[in-house]
Amino acid sequence: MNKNLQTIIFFVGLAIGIVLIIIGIVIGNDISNIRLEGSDL
Amino acid sequence: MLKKFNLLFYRRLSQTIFGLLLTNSYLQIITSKSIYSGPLKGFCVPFLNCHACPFAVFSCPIGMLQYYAATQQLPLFLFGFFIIVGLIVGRAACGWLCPFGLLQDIMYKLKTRKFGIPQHLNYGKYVILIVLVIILPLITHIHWFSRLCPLGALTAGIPWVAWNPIDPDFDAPVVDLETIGFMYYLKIIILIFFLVWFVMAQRPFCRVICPMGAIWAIFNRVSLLKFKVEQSCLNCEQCEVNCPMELPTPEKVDSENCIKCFDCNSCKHISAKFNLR
Repeated sequence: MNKNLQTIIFFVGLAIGIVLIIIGIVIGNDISNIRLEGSDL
Repeated sequence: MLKKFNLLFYRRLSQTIFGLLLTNSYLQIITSKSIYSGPLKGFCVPFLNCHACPFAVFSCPIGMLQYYAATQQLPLFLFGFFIIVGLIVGRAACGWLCPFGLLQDIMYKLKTRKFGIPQHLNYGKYVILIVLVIILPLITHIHWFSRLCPLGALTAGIPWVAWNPIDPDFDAPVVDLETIGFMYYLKIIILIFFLVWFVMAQRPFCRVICPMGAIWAIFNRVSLLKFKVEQSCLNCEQCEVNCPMELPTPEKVDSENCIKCFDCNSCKHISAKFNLR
């Protein structure tokens, strides 16, 4: 894969990841709110 | 040789301490008789780890993904977690942390006749991810992958049924044995099938089935942690012999199925780098 493209994908991906986490926390979508207590036993 | 021994030793240590012991360290279960449901259970580890295991402290990322699919919510935080971890280390958690990977590595050492796995079966994990983890839970609201997961059977289903203590809150057994039916036995059969396969082939679950591996595989080629075959490579194919994923190296070094275990790195013609280029 082209090195420049790889660099662009990395930084764009990182920015998207950080934005998703921030939005997730702001709208209460973060995973600390859920419990999966033995539901799949 | 010394370098290879050291890295393999540290990898086994990491798999055992971080992947197996620390993520499954809820010893209070012996007296409480119910699984840990404190704040740490709200966080997932970057590998399969059944949240219903009696000793589990953290949740399973695939369990969480199914939860969001089944409740028809968009898991923004979880997507962000996948993207960031994937971009930094790719599939390294499969090689360095996953306890199911450790089990497969150990079982493959048993001396029996060994079989290869056709490369095209590697696409199976993407089908499992899309069908059992996303589409079916979205439509049926049931966590289908967890219902069939052999790791879940091994670390949660069997231990709970075998132990089945009296729940002090309800003064009744934790597992109602009358509810055990077809799905439980199917899960056991799937587990037995995989245990036999683990002895005969190298890391078959990681290569063919694991939806967590499928997610990390997407990021493998663009992750910060990279392996590079030097131009001085003599095509001795020692890297292929060492590779636990049986990748046709050196061509496929650092491909989507590479678990970044550094086993190929014992050859001086393959270097590991932690940078963008």
